[in-house]
Amino acid sequence: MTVPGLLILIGSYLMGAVISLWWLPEIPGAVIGILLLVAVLSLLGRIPDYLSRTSATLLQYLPLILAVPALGIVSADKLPPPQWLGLIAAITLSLLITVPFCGWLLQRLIQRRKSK
Amino acid sequence: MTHSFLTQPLFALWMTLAAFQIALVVQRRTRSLVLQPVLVTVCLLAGALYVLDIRYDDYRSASSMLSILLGPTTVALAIPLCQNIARVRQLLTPLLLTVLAGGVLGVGLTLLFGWLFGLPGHLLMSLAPKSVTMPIAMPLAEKFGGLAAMAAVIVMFTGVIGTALAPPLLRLLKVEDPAARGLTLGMNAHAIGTAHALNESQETGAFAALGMILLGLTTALLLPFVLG
Repeated sequence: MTVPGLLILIGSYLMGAVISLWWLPEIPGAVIGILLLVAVLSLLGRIPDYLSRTSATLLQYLPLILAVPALGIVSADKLPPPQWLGLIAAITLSLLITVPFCGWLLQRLIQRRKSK
Repeated sequence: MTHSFLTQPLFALWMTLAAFQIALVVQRRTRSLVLQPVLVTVCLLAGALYVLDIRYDDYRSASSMLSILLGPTTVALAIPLCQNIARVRQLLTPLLLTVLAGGVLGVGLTLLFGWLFGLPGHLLMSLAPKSVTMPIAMPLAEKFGGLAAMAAVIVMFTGVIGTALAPPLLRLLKVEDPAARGLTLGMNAHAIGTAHALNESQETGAFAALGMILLGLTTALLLPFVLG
């Protein structure tokens, strides 16, 4: 964790949040922040070492940070069991189709490119 | 007096760190797909709040020290994306086609099945970003009238179910290309799928991380226009 790394990450997030607030309310600020940082780093052509170290440290603790908002489920309205069942069924059925579809499609596209 | 002690930030932080540490040890010992660190941490904390009679709102404001880092940490996802930018450029069209087609199909099917099973609108909105990595899925769900915490739980379910389903389904269709396997795991089962992909090979893991980030970005950019 380094100070320049934190300055860049927090700065990118704040810029993304401001852009989201003023011009693009549909898109979360963090997503705009990612795009801004990717754009800057592509122009720069390299990733400064302090930035990759700070990111690796923060990402390692992502589950810890996510636990706080995820715990909000305890104060959410309790779902009746049929709705839980419906949720799990919708998740499982859609995954049964999209998982093979994605794998098959990308492999097919890569093979076609190789055979050209 | 006791209550103000229990809701002070340092106690909340200590409790959260303790739950997280236990979750990490559980994960390391069992190597279980189901016992994800976020899931275990949330269960332990829910138990602690119940036993100590702390309201979630009090806990949440005491923990702002941690949750304030969520935004900058999400932005840190830009770094693994940039580290793999050479691979992305090489396979740009196939990757984008797969992420777009798979992403649209995924959201569409999820909403269709959810609607068929009679789920109410606010649940559907929490369900729509189910395959998106949690830090992006939560604000997305909230923007469309879903509930961030519900989206978090749905995302966790999706990660576990997707990671369990992927190996047999990919074997069935003879998907052996490491890039295709990785991208599929990352796109459908986000961080949980990525962790599993890393066990297969470095390349599978890199493409899984890529799939997770690209799908998150694409969904965040397109969903507003589809649902709006």
